[in-house]
Amino acid sequence: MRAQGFQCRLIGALLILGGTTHAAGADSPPGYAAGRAVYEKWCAPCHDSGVIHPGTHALMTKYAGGARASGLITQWNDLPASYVTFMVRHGMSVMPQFRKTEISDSELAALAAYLARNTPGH
Amino acid sequence: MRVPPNVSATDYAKALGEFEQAIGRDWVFTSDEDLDLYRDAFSPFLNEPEERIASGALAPVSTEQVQQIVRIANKYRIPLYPISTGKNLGYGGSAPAYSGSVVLDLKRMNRVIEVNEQHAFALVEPGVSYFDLYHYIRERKLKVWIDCPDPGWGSVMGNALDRGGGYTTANYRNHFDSHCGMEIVLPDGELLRTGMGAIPNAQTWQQYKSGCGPWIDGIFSQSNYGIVTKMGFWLMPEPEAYLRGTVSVPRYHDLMPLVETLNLVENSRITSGFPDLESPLLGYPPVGQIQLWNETGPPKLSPEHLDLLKGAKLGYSPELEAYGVRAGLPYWRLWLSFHGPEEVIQAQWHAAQRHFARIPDAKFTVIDQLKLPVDAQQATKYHEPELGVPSLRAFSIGARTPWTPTPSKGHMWFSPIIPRTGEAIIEANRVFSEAAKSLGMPLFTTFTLPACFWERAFIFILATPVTEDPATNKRYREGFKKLIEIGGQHGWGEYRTAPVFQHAVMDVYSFNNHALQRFHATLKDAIDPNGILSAGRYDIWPKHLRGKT
Amino acid sequence: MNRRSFVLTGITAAGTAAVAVPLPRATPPQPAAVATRRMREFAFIFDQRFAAAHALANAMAWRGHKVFGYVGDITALWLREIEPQWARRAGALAGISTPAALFCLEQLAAQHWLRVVTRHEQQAGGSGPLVSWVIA
Repeated sequence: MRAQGFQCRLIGALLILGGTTHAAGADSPPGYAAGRAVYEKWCAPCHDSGVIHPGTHALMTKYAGGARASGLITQWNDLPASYVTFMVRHGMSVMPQFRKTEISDSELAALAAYLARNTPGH
Repeated sequence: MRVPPNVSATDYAKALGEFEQAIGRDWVFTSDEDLDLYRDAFSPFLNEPEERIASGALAPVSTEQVQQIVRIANKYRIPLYPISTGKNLGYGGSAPAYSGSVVLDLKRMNRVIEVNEQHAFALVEPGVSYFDLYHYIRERKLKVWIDCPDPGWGSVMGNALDRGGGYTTANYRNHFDSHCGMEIVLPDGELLRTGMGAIPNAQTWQQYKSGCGPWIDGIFSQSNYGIVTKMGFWLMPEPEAYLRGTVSVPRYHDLMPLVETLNLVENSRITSGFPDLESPLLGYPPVGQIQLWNETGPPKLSPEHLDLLKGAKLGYSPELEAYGVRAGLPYWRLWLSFHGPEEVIQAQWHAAQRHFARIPDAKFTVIDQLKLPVDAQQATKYHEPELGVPSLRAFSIGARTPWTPTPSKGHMWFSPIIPRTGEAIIEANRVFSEAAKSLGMPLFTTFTLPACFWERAFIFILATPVTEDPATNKRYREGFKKLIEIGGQHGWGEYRTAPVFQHAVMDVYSFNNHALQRFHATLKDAIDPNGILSAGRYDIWPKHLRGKT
Repeated sequence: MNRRSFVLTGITAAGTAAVAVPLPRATPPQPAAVATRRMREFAFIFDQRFAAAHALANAMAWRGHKVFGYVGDITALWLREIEPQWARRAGALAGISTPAALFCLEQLAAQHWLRVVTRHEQQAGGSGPLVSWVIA
């Protein structure tokens, strides 16, 4: 039931991608589609490109002048999967934590893998 | 393992076993790691002993599973606390009112059961967010709008049951008012449908609100008398066009006729969109521009202007007013919006101008004129919820930006209802600014304008920050309660509040020796004699806990 | 809204003076022995043609009073706000206006057993005198 539920959500998320107006973000090579779908549903509204996304704006402000100055978590190359997992389950500042009924452990693993894909050693 | 209060470890273990049988082991959470996910992310008790925490969490997927859970909870007297999407941030979030309760996480119940375009309604389960409903409608190209609050990840049902509001037209902005029909699991596990839904094979459940006999829907809002598992909502047919215009007035006292005329124009339905009050001269943004100011910075004011603002008291000095006239900065600017066929909204805008023209030197400007629909990308040029588009841009409030280098840990909404008059705005500013100053709270330091979510009343709403420092948070909590009490002395009560303040708020509603609260208790004893459901929510306690918490 | 007493101030060039307002009676008042107590406020009205009137209106608004403006002719305001209020119950009315407007109001007030209890001439620049007053 859970797997089916996830499949439905994945299909739904992919349909949403067709109409989504969020920035295309970085590349989405095969193998990361599941994580990309979780990102689009739960993360993109705050973390897509531009100051209209409060997470990105906060990170741009925090890391101004440094390697992370883009504020774009989909493009960072120093974002280990474990850090993504920690942030999703603990939150920071006005970003809340996400429950397993929102992002399950397997969805989180896929999301973390997607966001960490540019990070050597993941 | 955490155990709920007044429950033995043995009984709890048995209950957990039965919960696992009912909904599956994967959806019964007991580890500390899992239960930390149910903390209030904006808790003003962060990391303190008084922080409300869950002893367990259950995530059913169907109404039948909810009924099973409730029967088990009754058997073992397990206190439950239902949440929908658990995103009531600023008003308590996903944490239980009664610490140690078992949270009933209804997020998995996320079916959009129906969206009917012809009759313009939706029927949803608790876990459906505004994003979910919006995408459902867009995917099917249905020509109806949702009405959403600022954060789009909240529950359509949950927001309405906490009596929240949104941004499109008046009758849809009041989310509880726009509901039609409910299905509820009562605290004894029975299933109840309200309105026309009480007729088997009902044909008009989402078309006629009140059924026959006492209209009981209201008691399931801001309360703990049942677990709502389905809720209908009337939706606005997609309007053809949108117009937004402003009325600017130059003098301090123009606030009075400005509000008076707004009331007439709104109550006459000449305008139905979200009215938004701004003061360009005082540098106070309209609600709809807050996200933009957080993203691009507030307007830059000249040194002379800043000096004059420092010298203003309750937002006024003759010199400041004179500066505004010289600099072309209105004292007050009211944003009005109109939705509908172009010929209609043009006529409405003209009629509105005719009414406001009785204020000498009032000026009118059209800000936006749009043919609808616009897609989500185009909507980002505006305050998206006013166009029925959900977003999370409101999380710029309190987040780190170049203008807010120290982000907050969240906020608590202070939200008294004040009368719809200019003099009430000034009075509320006077009362609360003096009170906040004496309490050492960083609120009301500049003139505050209320929000117009509701017709016929104002919400004098302000965010109190949650900080990293427990001593500061304690001072703010105590100050918040004092502000509630002071508001009550002036006849102003909150419209909604977080569990930590629900006793203080409900205490204000004390007419005739707290007759209202005594009535709530009477209902609670009748409907939930074992007191298993959301103990303490809006200060409604079951008998065995009354007076003890 | 709080039922506050309305302590009325006559704004003079020099400063302010608090005025205690005589108690109105349901029956016509006897000439002598009118008790003094604080009276429930109603509103402040002002003629929007004059800058001095605006300044006073701002001050009254700042103090939390209801403020109504009119332009020259007081008829519409009388019909819409003042007469309905006085028909329901007496309430102190303060204002700043031309002497002519005050004269009209004074006659109308008498029909509700109210009278001008204080008046102060104000200079309105080149436009002739204004008068600030209280009717109670």
